Amino acid sequence: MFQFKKIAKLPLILIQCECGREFLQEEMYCCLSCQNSMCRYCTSNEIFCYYCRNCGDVQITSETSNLTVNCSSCFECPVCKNVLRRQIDTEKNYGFTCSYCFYTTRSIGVTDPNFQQVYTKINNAYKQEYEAEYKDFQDQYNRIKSIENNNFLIKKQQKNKHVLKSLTQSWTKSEALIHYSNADIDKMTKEKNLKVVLQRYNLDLNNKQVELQDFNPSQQTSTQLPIPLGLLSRKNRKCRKCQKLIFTLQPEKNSKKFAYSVQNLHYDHAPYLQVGKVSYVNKEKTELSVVIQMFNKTKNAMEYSFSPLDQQILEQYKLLTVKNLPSPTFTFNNDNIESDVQQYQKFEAILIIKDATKIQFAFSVSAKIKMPMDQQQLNYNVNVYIGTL
Amino acid sequence: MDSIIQYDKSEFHETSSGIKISKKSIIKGTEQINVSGRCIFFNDVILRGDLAKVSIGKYLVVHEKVTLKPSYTYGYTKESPTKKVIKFLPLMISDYVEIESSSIIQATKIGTCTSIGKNCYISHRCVIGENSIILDDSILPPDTVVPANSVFGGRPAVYIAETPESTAIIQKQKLVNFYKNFVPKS
Repeated sequence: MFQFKKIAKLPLILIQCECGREFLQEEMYCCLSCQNSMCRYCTSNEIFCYYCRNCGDVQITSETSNLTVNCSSCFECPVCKNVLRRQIDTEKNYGFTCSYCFYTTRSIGVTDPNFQQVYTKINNAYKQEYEAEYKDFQDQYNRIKSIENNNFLIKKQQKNKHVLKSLTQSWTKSEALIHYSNADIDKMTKEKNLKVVLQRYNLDLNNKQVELQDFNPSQQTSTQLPIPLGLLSRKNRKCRKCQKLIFTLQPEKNSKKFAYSVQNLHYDHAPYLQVGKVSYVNKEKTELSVVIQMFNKTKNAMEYSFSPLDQQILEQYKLLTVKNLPSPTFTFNNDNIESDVQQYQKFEAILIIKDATKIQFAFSVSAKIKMPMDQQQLNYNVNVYIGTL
Repeated sequence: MDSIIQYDKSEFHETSSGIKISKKSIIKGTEQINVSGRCIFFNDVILRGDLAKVSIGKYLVVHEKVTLKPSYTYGYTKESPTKKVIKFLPLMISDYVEIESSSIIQATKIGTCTSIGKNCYISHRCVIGENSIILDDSILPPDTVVPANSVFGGRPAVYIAETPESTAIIQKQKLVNFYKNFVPKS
């Protein structure tokens, strides 16, 4: 997933998650039941649907049982990985072309006056090339399944007899239990004189197709078949601790768009901090004054307070101490909120820069949020904010 | 903190709806151009409204040396029912879009909250979905479809990554602050 920290301009304020990673304030998520904010790596994904990036065809996981990995109507150029377009010849034969590198299926001989037969020709060509490998793979798979079934039965018998035996004593090694390593697979491919350098098996047992795809497009020639376009996925997000939903998708009626029905961002439940003016205090330039601006982007009343971090942590990560963090709590009241006016407060922090190589400071913020509908109080755990200039 | 950018009032036109266009930009066919408001067009921007309709949303920022041109197809018309003729398609740019310098755009539709990098070439009949990012120095071949919440880049541009759910918020904040900090010299 893309990270905006790379593009963002300095001065910045980032949030440090419990896992140690730093993100922008808008990129953090919030779990209301755990009352904690977390990054994308501390949440788990659940796939909602698969979709094609070219034609927009959607396969929802809960509705369909026979899901495919690739789109049935879209193909990729094997040379440059661009999506292919339909083409009509002067002889009125259909085929595919790439508008970037001018690859055509006409060079392979895959053209037909009936466009749907072009798809069947491509699928048949794949099956012919990889039929032998598919048979070997199927045999291997069936062997492994039979062994696993036998193992399961024997485990049941052992439990009933209440006899403890280690598997190494009871089982002798056989050829079926050997797992092929990467070196073995390379040997097997060389023996069969295959021209492809890097391979991976993409198994789809429901449709009984095995597709071998290359990783080196620079070595491809124009005689290769077009590659079926892989599907992308849209995901829901869940908290890893309590398994509650943070972001859920909902398809809109009569369209291929999706909207979020539940969305919980840290941005909506915590104060938003921004760096204002930066100026030197001394002539010797050993102290910096930084004005930190605070906004309430939520629609709720909020109380929050600051606290400094331990000196051991600051020394470990080479962060500067903030000299005068304000001690009383700040409040944003719900009564004074207007539609266009943002609630705004600020304070001035002073940093000591003596013997510092980089200007990076940190402090922690804890917030209490009053939600009007539930009449509850949300006590946010301490978040570490890191500012870089 | 976003830095304040000051400009000479003598070098920019400013309309009542908040559109700021530099006098060095070339805009043709103003009758067919609809702009909702609060847009900034920097120097050497070429906007061809004489070929087809151009509709632009709010908070658009177009940097230097950008060309915005409607795309075309070959098709039959009433005037020439037997011979194929070039037809120009309308260009639609939604709200909160940023286009960096020296890029050429011939797309049909650009969705909300997108950002297009420097030296990009977006060829004809492309459709760019919302909340998407196109990286610098990328070329989008004709008829490409960029889905929503995606990052494209390369030559030719290929799907690279997914954008986070908060891209709309980040992009809106960035462009609203940019417009507020684009201030005439006092």
